[in-house]
Amino acid sequence: MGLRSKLLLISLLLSLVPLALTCVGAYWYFENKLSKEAFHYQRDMLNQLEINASSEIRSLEEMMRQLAADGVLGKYFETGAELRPYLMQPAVLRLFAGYGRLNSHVKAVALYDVDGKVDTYYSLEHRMLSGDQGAEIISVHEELPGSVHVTVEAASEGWWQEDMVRATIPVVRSKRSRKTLKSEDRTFGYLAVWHSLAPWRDMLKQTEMGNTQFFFVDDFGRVFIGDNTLPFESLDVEAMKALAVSDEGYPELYLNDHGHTQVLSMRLLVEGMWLGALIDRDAIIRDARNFLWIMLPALLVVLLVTGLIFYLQVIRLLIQPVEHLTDATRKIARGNYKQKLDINSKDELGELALAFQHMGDQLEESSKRIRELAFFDPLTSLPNRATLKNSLVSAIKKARRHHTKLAVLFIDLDDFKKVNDSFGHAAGDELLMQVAKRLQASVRQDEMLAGVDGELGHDSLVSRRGGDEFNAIVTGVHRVHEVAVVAERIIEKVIQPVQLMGAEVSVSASVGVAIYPDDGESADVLLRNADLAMYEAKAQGKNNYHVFTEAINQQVHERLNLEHAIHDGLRKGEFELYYQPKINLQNMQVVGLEALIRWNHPQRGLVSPAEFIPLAEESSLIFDIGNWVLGEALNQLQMWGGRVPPGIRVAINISPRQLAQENIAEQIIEMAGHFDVPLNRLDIEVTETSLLHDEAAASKQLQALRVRGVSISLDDFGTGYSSLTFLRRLPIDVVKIDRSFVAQLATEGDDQAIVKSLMEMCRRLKLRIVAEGIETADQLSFLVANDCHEAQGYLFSRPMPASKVVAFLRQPEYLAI
Amino acid sequence: MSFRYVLVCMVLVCASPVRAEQELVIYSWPEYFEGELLREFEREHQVKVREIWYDNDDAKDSEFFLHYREEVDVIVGSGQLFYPYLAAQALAPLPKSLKIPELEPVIASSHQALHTHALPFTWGSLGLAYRKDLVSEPIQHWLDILRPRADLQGKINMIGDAQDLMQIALLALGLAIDDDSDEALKKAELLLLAQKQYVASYSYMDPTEHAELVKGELAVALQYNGDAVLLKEYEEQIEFVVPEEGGLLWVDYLAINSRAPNLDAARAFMHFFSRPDISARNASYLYYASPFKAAKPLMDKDVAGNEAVYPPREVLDNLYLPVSPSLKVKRFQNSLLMQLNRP
Repeated sequence: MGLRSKLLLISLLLSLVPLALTCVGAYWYFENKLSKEAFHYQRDMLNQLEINASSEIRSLEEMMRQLAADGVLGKYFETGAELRPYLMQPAVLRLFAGYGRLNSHVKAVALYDVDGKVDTYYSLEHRMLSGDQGAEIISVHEELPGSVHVTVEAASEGWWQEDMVRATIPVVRSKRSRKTLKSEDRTFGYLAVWHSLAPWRDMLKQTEMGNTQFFFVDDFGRVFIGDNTLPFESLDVEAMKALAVSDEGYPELYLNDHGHTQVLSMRLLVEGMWLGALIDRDAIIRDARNFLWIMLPALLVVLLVTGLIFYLQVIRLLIQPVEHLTDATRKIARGNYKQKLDINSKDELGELALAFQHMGDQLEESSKRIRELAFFDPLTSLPNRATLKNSLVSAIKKARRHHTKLAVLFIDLDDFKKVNDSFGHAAGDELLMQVAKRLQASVRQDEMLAGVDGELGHDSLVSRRGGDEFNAIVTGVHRVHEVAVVAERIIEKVIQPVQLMGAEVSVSASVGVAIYPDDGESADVLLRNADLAMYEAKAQGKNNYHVFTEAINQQVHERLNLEHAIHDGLRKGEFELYYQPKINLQNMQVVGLEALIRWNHPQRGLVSPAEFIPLAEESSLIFDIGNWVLGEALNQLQMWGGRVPPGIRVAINISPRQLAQENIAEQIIEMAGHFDVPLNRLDIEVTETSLLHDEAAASKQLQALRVRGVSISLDDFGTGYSSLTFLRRLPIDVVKIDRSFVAQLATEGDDQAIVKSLMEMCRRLKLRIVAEGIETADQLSFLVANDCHEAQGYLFSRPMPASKVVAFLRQPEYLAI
Repeated sequence: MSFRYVLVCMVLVCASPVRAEQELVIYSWPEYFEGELLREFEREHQVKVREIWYDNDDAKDSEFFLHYREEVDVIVGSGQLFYPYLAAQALAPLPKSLKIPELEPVIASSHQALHTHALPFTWGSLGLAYRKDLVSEPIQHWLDILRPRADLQGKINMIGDAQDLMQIALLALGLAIDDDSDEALKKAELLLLAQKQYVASYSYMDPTEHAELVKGELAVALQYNGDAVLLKEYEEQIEFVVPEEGGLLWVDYLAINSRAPNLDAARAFMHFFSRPDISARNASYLYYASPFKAAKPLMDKDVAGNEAVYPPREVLDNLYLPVSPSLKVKRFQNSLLMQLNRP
């Protein structure tokens, strides 16, 4: 259920629940309270009407009293009856006329004599001919002075077209009695006023009550003012009189006519005039209900409209913005980050929309960053390896379609590690960035650039592979020569000096080139071949380029085969250690044995270490070989036990990469312990080049071994730097002069001088000197003559299997020389 | 203080009954005495004359009995209305020393019963004053106004005197002026009530230049002969006529209130106005005839010679002297007047 329908439901509930409550409440209220109140109200109206009607009568009575007390009437009666008509009647008639003018409802005024005979009659409406005078006799009541008698005179009695209120009052004057000389009241006559019923009729008209009928009745129960819808024309006099006020208030009479209940109340206004009220009780209740039936639908409409407005407002203010946001979210999920949200409200939703927009912007930013990280090298901003691969795949497709060639360049900086070591990584990074720029410039400079996938937004074909390795793709190549130009330019540019930490540094680059489709048809193959070509360039002395050839490929294949064979050989025990004795030239005693590896290949026969050690050195095989050599030598030493005199050290060659291992000293010490071989029986031979790589680390390792009694020999001395300072710094005990020098010693010349100076140098540094490769007696003579400490070579003994060592030591053959 | 206010104050001072000085109060029609005559009387008798005016015969009597009974010395009134006064002993007898001069024959025979208590003052007739130019035919009969043509609707002025109206109606109906049968009374009443819708007013029209008849707002009015003469002076087109059926003769008298505060002055006043020369002067002033034979030669010639004032024989013979109504008739008249006067 969506928010819309829920809200609609709530709105409906909000509308209908109050309605239902109102229904129940209103019904109860009307039933129990309003109808009662209405009932009371009707009674109050009756009371009010009674007061009004009575006050009208009272004012009539008061006017009557004033009229009766008028001096004119007194004078009239004072005047003798025979003279009254001549002298006073006109004044009386004027008095009555003036009274009639003042009281518009007065229709006639009459003066009666004490016998009730008409004396003077003034009428406004009734056309009574003057000749009729004296014909009227009114019933004379014994009235107290000042009391007014009010009756209702029916029209049917002849004088009037309509019913009239007739009020009579005795005209009383004080008269001094001649007998008693006392003043006493005497009634001279009666004054009668005919008063229209209009004031009372108007009262009823103004008191238009839907459910109550008010009416006036006379003493005989005759209704003289009342609606003709009244259910009766007259009331039972006895019943009516029973409704007069009593000590318990006003009694009420319930009239029940076919289940229709009406309540009759009567008020006696004056004798002869009653006010009645017939309250339609059922109608009051019916009215209340009718009102309810009108009110409730109206309420329903109002509530529904309110609910609808509420609903629409919520939709407008809440749902629509939320839907907007949802929509925007979906779009963002699809990667459409820039969302324009049309929510302009200044409320929380507006803020949400703003936040949302902000989030979209942020997401776009992040996404861009992620993409860059995924596709670009963060340091140089060049496309990364994966991007290159994709680009290359595309480029290949394109080249295939257009039958063009393309070249993949594999660029590796020569000796970059040195820069890193010497100036720190920050400088190295800086250098890489410089190089990246130069590479791009070099490649861009060439207009042969082909368009690259627009998707990455880069048109550069230079990418960083990782570390100091870069790749470049050159498309639209026709001849290898064109690529050679690019490669040369790269080399030329890269080698330009760079300012790093205030120093001027220059690095060279080796570039390998592979051509599509000549050197491979897939991206992987092309890259591998370019890589191989680059290695070839490095092998050929760095700072140059090499184009991939089948020969290289072949070489690689061979190398792979060899590596495989070495691996197999180690496993199958095809390797063997031979030992070549070192002879002390002072006493011609064997002072040491150099362990030399031999490989008895089942097919190839004996394989020279010169063939496989360099290869092994390029792969991790060197560690396997090194470990095997160390273990084998130690094992041999253990096996020999006392059969090889303790003074004879066994020399083990450690390759540069082995020495570069952080824990090489530890490994050696541990293994020696394992084989229970005293460390002072070991001699470790390292080459100059292996020390050059990380001199400090190597020195530390070597020093650790020396401290434990291992002696350290510097192998192949003379082929490298061979500087005096270098020797002095290194923790070595022995220097082995390279066999190339020894071989030349027979002939007088530079080599003799070099060897002499070398030996002289070593002696100064208190290093023992071992000459390698002694094959002739002349060489021996020279060395002996020049105080060389030790020597080894065919002259004394070829390397021999371990099994022959003990015998050799027992009966050294070289002594026969 | 404006002049008007000062004037009012002076009038109030003059009007206040200062009894310290001798005062004679006369209850009369407005301007019924020539001012110079009254001044003469004042000088002769060292008395101040004050007038209280009434303008309606009906009101006159009840007002007198209600308010002026103790104030008034001399009353002016028409003959037939003085009979109830006599009955009520409201009149003092004329001084024994007063000798009424020889009366005109028509007066001598009228109201002789009054002559011990009332001095004839002036006399005249009641007829119709009408505008010749405003009626299609000359007015000759009472019915011309009592049962008028439609064009006289609202152009008729009557008089607020029930006795006069009643008797005119009887005359118009060809009945005897003293016919008091119920039938006659009823006929007269019906005639008058039927006329009511044509009548503009039942108030006597004062004979001034502003009178509606002069202005032409009314076409015909019930009028006393002398007043008609006055009106004619303002408008030539006004004609006075006594209808063929006969007019009404009236005689006004002076009488002394039996409770007159200044009985001596009242008596002196009676003596004063019993003099033919005085009567002649006042009659000339009023444009009415004097009751005294000896007065006529002393009067202004144009008044004495005016046939409207002193009608010729044939007219006089056609005038009827109203009789004092019986009690029944008086009641009837009162009731009739009430009906005519009510809205």
